[in-house]
Order: sequence, then C-alpha cells, then structure tokens
Amino acid sequence: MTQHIQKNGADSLMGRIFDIARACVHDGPGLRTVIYLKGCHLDCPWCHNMEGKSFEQEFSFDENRCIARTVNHKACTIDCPLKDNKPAHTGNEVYARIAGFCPSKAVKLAGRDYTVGTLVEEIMKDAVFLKQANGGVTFSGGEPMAQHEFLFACADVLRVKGFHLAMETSGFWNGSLLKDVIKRFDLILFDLKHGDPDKYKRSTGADNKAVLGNLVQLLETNTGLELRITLVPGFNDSNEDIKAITDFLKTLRRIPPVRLLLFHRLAAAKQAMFRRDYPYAKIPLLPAHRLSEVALMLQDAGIKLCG
Amino acid sequence: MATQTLLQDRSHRAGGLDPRIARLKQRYHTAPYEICISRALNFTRSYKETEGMDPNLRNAFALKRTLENQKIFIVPDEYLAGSKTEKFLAAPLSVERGDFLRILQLEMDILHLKHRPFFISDEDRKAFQNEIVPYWDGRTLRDHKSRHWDEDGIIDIKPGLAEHPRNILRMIKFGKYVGHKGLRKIQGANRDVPLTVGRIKAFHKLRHELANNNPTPAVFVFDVQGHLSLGIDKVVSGGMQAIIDQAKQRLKQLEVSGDGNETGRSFLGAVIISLESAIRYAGRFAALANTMKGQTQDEKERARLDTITRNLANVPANSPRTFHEAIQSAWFAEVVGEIQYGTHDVFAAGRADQYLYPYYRKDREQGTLTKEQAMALIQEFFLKLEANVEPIPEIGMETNGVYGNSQHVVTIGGQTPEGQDATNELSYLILDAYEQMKGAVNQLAVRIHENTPHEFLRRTIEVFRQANGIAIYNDTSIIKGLINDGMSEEDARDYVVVGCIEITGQSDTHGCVGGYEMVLPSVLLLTLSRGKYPPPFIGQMKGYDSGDPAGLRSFDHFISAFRRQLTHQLEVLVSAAAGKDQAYKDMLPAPYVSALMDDAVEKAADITAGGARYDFTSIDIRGLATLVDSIMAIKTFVYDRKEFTLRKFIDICSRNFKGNEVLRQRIIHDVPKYGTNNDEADSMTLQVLNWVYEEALKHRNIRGGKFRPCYYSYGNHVIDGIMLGATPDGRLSGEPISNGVSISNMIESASGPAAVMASIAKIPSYQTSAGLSLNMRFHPSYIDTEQGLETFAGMIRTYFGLGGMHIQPNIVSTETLRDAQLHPENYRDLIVKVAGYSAYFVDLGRSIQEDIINRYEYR
Repeated sequence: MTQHIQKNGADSLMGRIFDIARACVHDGPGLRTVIYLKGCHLDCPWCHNMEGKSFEQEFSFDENRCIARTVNHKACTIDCPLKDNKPAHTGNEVYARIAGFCPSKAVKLAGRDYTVGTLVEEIMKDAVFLKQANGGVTFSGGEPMAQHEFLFACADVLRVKGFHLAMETSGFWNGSLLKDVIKRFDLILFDLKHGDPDKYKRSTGADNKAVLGNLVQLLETNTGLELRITLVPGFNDSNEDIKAITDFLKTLRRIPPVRLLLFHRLAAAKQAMFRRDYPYAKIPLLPAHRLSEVALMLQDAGIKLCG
Repeated sequence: MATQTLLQDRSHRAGGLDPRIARLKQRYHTAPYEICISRALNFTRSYKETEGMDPNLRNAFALKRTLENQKIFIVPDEYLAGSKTEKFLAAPLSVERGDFLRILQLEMDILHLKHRPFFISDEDRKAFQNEIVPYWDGRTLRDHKSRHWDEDGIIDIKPGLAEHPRNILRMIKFGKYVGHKGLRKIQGANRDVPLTVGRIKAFHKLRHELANNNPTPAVFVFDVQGHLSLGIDKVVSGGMQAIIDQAKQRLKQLEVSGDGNETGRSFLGAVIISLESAIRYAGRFAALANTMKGQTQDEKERARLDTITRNLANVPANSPRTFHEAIQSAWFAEVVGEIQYGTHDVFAAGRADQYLYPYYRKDREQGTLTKEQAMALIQEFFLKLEANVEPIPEIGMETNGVYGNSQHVVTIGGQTPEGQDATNELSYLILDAYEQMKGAVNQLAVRIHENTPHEFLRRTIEVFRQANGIAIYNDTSIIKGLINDGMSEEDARDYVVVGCIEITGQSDTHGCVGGYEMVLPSVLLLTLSRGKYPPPFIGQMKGYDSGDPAGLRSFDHFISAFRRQLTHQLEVLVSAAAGKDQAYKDMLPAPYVSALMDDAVEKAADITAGGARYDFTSIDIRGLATLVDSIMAIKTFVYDRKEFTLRKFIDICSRNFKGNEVLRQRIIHDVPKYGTNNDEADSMTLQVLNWVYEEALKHRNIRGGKFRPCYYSYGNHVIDGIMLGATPDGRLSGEPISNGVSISNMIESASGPAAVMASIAKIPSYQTSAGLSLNMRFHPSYIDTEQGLETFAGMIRTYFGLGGMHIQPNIVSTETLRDAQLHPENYRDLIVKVAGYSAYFVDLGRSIQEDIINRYEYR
C-alpha cells in the first residue's frame, strides 16, 4: 500500500493530506488542528469524505468560484479548457494543469504531499492556541493508519513539542502496530460502525475481526478511548442493529464512553466538485429524535455516552 | 469559595423571565416611535429668554425649564420611575446641536414612511416648524462649527452658491463616481420612500449639509460629542445633594478669594441649578406616584406606587438605603443626563456591578431582597437603557438600527482600583439577568484579567448560547494603554466601556470618543489620485495633492506619498476638531454632565472647557484591513513583481477592475493578507498603526488633551464603502470597507480564527488605547458542550495572553445563515460546524448549507 510513502530517511518521509482544518472543537478536547490523511482501505458507501478514500491525488472543481461561470464567460481571460469543456469530461491531468494557474482557485488539489517538517510547520502556526484547554492535533482521514509511517513520524515530533495527540480511526489496521499507536496518542476516536461482522463486511468490504481485535487490545492499555457510532440509515439504525452493538460492547472488559452521531448527507454537495456519484445523496435522513431513542437504548444497557 | 456557592445556587434562574419584565419588554418593543418636541420647545423658549447670558447658565436654565414643565408619567409594571420625554418611546430632541434639527427639517415629510415610522402630531409639527426651526437656524452648534471651519479654510460654504456651475459639475462628478446604485443607497435604504421632487430637493439640501460633517472625503467630524461615562456611580454613592453642597462651597471659596473668572462662577451656578432641578424632577415623580396611589384600590399596585414614592423621596438627592433605591438613583441620573444632552448622548452606564454591589450585599445579608427581585430590577434597568429611538436620516438606514442606537454600555468584572479582582455576586447576577432576557441591544462589556475567576469567563461564554452582544475586554492590555495615556494606575483600573468598544475612565474622562473619524482607504485613494478621488462634495475644498503617482518609483516613495496624505488628512481632522470643540466650549457646555464628572466642580470648569480629570479626543479609524491589503497588493504587483506600473493599477481600480477579473482574483488569492498571521502583512499593519499613532501624537485638542487612535466602526464602514471607488485589494466600488481591526470580508480565512487572533494580538495596546474591535463569528455548536465552553474560554485566554485587547464573538442564527446564502461575499469569515469538522459556510455547497440550516433549526 505504501507506494506513496517514499522512505529515504525520516526527513523526506512524505504523507498525502487532503485537508487541514483549523480551530476544530469536536474532534477531541480543546481547540484542534485536524489533519486529514488521504486514502482508506475500507469502502463505506456513506463516507462523507469521498475524496479521502482514494490514495491518488484528486482535484475538486467548484463552479461557484469559476469566474467564467459566475461573472461571465469573458471575465476569465486565461485559456482554460474548463470554460468550454464539461467538468466531468475533463481529465485529471488537465485539472492538475488548471490548478496551477486558476486565479480564483476554483480548481483545487485534494492530496498535497507534505514532509513531516512542512506539516509540523503548518501546525506550529497555531501552537499557542492548540495548547490551551488540553487542545492539540487530531489525525483523521481517510484512514490515518494507512500512512502509519508518516503518521508516527509526525506524532513523534509533535509529542516532543508537547501537543495532545488524537487519532480518528476505523481500527482497521495490523494489530502489530498497536504498541506504536499507544505510545504516541493520548486519545483514540474509534469508529465502531457495527457489532455484526456480516453487516460490517457487506458495507465496508472488510472483515471486522482485526478492528474488534484492536479495540480489545486498546482496552488493555491506558490510552484514552472514545467509541464513535454514526447512525447510518439502513446500516446500523434499527433496534436489532443497536442490540448487536450493545451485545458486542457488553462482551468487552470495560466499555469506553460512546459518542453517537447522526448520519448527514453533506457529502452530496461534493458529487459535482469531484464529479462522482454519492450513493447516499438521496437517502432519507433519520429524524433527530431517533438519536435520542438510540441514546436511551444504550444508556439502558449501561453504556456511558459523551457529548 | 464564594464562586462555588454561586454556581450551585441557580434557583433564581429557574423560574424564567418575571412576567412583569416580560410585559415591560413587550411594551417597549411594540410601542410606536414618536417625536416629542417637549425638550426642544422648552430649550428654545429658555434660550430665547437667556440671550446674552453665560452659556453654562443658559444650558442649566433650559434644563430646569424642561424638567419643570415636561409632562411626566409612570406606566404599569414599572418600578424604576423617570421618563425622558412626554411620550412612552421618543427621543429628547437636541435641536441646539444641529444634526437632529436638520434631519427633521429635511425628513419631516417622510417620517411616516420610514421602515419603522415616527409619529408626530400636527400641532407639534407646526410648533417645530414655526417656533423651533426659525430660532435655531444659524444658532446651532453646527452653525458655529461650520463658521469656524469656513473661517479656517477647512470648508467653503457659500449658501448662495448652491447652484453655482462649479457645484453642479461636482454633483455630476460625484454621481458618476458612486454610480446609480450608490446614489440610491445614499438616498436611503428605504424603497418605500418615493423619489419625489420634494425628496430630491431635500436630498440636495442634505448634500449641501455633508461638508458640515465631512470636511474631506476621508475625514468626519460630526456634531455629536457625548460618548462618556456619566458619573452614575457618583450619584449612587453620594447623592446629588453632596455635589450641590460641594459646588456651593467651591462657589463661596471663589467669591471670598476673588479667584476664578466669571465663567467658573457661572459654571458652578449652573451645576447647582441643574442638580437642584434634577432632584425636583424626581420629586415630581414621587408626587405623581403618590397621587396615583390614591386613585387605586389594588393593594399590589398601591404597594408598587408607594415604593416609587419612598424611593424618589430619597434618591437621587441622597445616598440610597436599599438596592432598589440605588438602581433607581442610577436610572434617574441617566434620565436627566439624556434630557440635558438630548439625542444620541451615548452615555455609558459604567461599572454597575461595582457601584450597586454594597447595597445589594447589605439587602441580601439583611434578607430584604431576593435574587429574583434583584434580577428583575437589573432587567428593568437594561430595558430602559436600551429603550431609546432616534430619527436617523435615511442615509444612515443602510447601517444603523433605530432602537437602542444610543448605546448605554454596562461594564462588569475587572479589577478594583487597588488591583484586586472585582468580580462579585452581582457580576454573575447581571450575566444571569442578561441571559434570561435573551440579551439586549444595549451592550454588556465584560472585563477579564489574569485573576478573573475562570468560572466568570466560562459563564460569560455560556450566555452566548442565549444571546449575542457581549464583548470581552482584556484588562492587562487596556490598563497598560491608559497608563501610557497619562492616567493614574487606580483610575486606569477603573476604566469602563462606552459606545461601541471605546475605552474611557469611569466618570473622570472627557474622552470625545464619538464623532471624530478617519477613513484609511479614502486616504489611500486620495494619494493615488493626487487628491481628486473620491471627488469633493459641495463645500469641501479641493483635495490635497500628495504627489504624482507616476513619480513614485519605489515602494518607499509610494509610502512617503501616502504618509504625506495621511499627515494632511490628520491635520484637517485636528483643525476641524478644534472648530467643533471651540463651538462646544463657547455655546454648548454640559453643566449637568460635568457636575457628575470627577474634578470638574473642583476646577470650576465645564468638561467642554477642560474640567474633567482626563481629557482626550479619540480618532475613530476605519478600514485598516482594506488599507493594509491594498498596500500589500501594490507592493506585490507594482514594486516586487513589477507586473505593471502604479499608473496602470490606478487605471484598473478606477475602471472598477472591469476586464481585469483575473487580476482581481489573483490579488485576492495570491497576496499576503491582513489578519492571517502572515509576517509580512502583519509587519505592514504595525507600520500603519505606528504612522497613525505618531501623527496623532503630534497634536493636542483645544483643551490640551491627547489624540488617541481608536479602531472600530459602528456600521459606517458600509457607508464609507458606498462612497468609495474600487481599492487595490480587489474590493469593488461601493462594497463595504473592513470593520474595526477585523479582516476583510473577501479573505478566505483558511488560516483559521487562531491566525486572526494571533495577528490582531500583535497590535500594541498603547497605540490603540481608545479601543479596537475584533468581530469574529462562530457557529453556536462551538459552545454547545461543556467542553466547548472550556475550549472557547481557553481560546480567549490565549488571545489575551498574547496581548489582544478585545473580542466580540458572534454566535450566529439561521437568519444570518440565510442571508449568507444570498450574499456570500459578506460572510467570508463565517465559520460553521459541519459534522465533526468546521468549515467556512460559504465554501460549502448549497445543499450542505440547506442541510445545516435545517438541522440546526431544531436546536
């Protein structure tokens, strides 16, 4: 998998990042910079970061920023193929070229390669703010562990600088890396998805054995752990699904706090930008009260909820 | 710990808003706006009778006459008696100042067409036109001010020349410059006002008026003064009688020693007359309540009226015996202040949690006051402080709200003069009161210092869940700045907030923080056009030529030219301020306000004559980000990359970037920007601040006070923008310029809020000691959890730790998000929480926006 990580000594270790979000408050304690690493080995159809799935570089095109479209055709005096071509019929290499000159940044690269040094530099800009109220850096994705060498190298530098470090992960990675994870991260935000292996496999394309194994292992350690369950319509929102989840949780040595999230369709807007279909674009949303119902069910089962 | 018990005791918040307060609020918020001419008529008749007398005495007699003759009332549910006009909701019209006289003269025929109409009876309209206008025409403060300016060559007002060919040409040029849309906006935001011949004529007259406030396109010196901390604390603690006694004693000293001039003695006489009238005015309310009591059998009503009678028989003349009397005394001091000053006084209500606290504590200890009662009284106080309306001219309607336009800020928290933490139980209770009534347009200023209990900051942020409108101030930076201005440490620690965000001493400072203004982007455009653009109005002098841009071969040359223009504009401002201040001193002193100000009685001098302990003039400076971004664009394209000449850049701007959208986008996206923690842009910002500060430091006002720069805008950055052509930062003609020290609306702040704060915190507070405003908007979900509150508090602490002075977070509503969809260009900095991450709202697609709006509407 690691063709994107060229290992010529730690300094030139590169990681591919599709977004850096600053001053986030919902991905761990305090104020956080969230680093979105590109690429994931799961294939959840509802994933709201569709550009985070592939390891390849991609380009987004935002029509609302294209001055040839929003101002008028002649406003853009640059010879740009997108003025006449349909976005969907424009190849990736053409987008790469446009991204170099587009004055209004309507075309943007998703998947910039960073060295450990340049990424840390980006993070350091907000350092004083991140260190307040136990804030810090959260690695998300994609699946951050899919680029674990880069991830670990960054974490090592950031740890020394005194940041609280968190990772949002599906847990789908080789259990032998566990030691490396627990010594670097203060908090793991673990995406549980489902308790039923069949359902898990059907939707994500992967076996959840490793995932659950890693969770069990993590529970043996002192590393902070928060389970995240996003209620996805038709996948894990029925009473049976919830029961499968609670049944699984009850088998654990201890149950970490659980954060319930409600699926949203926000990724639908990215369809046009990334010229790709989003299968969940028109799925009816769960009503807000469903979240409360599920929360009650979990609490009845003795599970502690956070947030 | 006291704080701990406070937090556990939330019972007083459990019951919800007191029905009495809810009714009062409803009453204020639904009452018709009226024009009451009572004050104007009494002032006019009194001034007619006192021609030739000392101006201090004339003002006192006019106040006395108004307080004696004005009809008074007490409405149901009211516990804090004291009315400002004869109508329930109207402004005490200050015709003698000029601005509101002119506004009413020009807009009398469309008062009923305003967005919220103003009502005036036919009889009053006639009295206004037949008695008030004829007397004041030529006698107002504005008339004096304009005559000074005309004599000093600041403006060139020749009324007879209104239709002079030169002026007609100027009108055409100006019209072309701002365009049809601009003209329409200047004429008024209100589309219901038809463009009749009468309106065009009135608009014409208004155009002639503009130069009387706006001597150059970059400088405003309005008629308004006010904007100070009224000595409410002094009235509450000692009573007015004590000040009268002091004035009498001082007068006797002066008479015995033969010291002092006639003016000083007249001033003291005016103080005595004003305060005695105020006490008698209170007596009228006590008597009215007593009479009303005799007319009702309702026991509760009788008790209420009895309370009012008892309270007003004691205060504001004497020290209060109870919390209720203390807050009544505070309100009454404010009422008389508003009547004395008239429309748009902008008197700060001061450190209410400090001056009311001794009475609160005593009553609580004695068990004679419940928290609920105290909270309801605070809420009534808030309702009354914000319940003011002004007939704002149509030109101001783009940017101003009518209700509560005259801000009476309440300041809480902070330090005692000795440097101890001043946060007390009442500070928390005021927050509770504010939260429970879901805020008020009247602002609440919260002072934070190193030893402020964490809980207090946290609680302040928690209030944002219910209401916006609180601004948070950093004592450490602010006090340093005030000491640098010459304040004693004790007085600096006792500072309060006035108006929008301006910093002033509590009842010891005549800071003139309103009405002296400079627009930086205009200074830049004047530099680039040799003083030709923005084009001068009728009455304004020809623009100052700071050198031919073609000759500005290096960036340093360009900067020198800009600084020459800045120096010139500041000199105009200083001379214009002198003309205005002289007019105030000569004809419109404020003996009532001065009486409440530290040292004025001792010095036997009105504040307009230097009677206050501290005296400053603030210069409100607007468009900092627009200026810095413009300079950076010029530097980048003209001098660093040498892509085109300055001449060419000026051409491109003057054609409003037509045919140059690509360049405009490159400017927006490729140039280092203000407020993004970019070292180059930040260092340019610091240079600009330093130029302004050094330039301001060269001058003194007519009372010997310093000029202090202040960076904020109360909404006028929008009007500035309407009148201003495109700027080199890519801002199009007519678009707003940047507000306060906030970043430009065009910036896509991918560098995030922390970068903005880090940039702004670099501003040295001594160069902006009169205040600055940093507006940042956050989505409510930022603070919807306990963890969120902690994080937000941490963010503010960090910003303050870096030296930031002020922040006013805005936690936005659906309504704003809807508006952001319609006008994304105005909401570039709006942060939203999408699901797990944050994003800029306008960067999101339409359907995401819809989704977020729908989701949050249920919360």
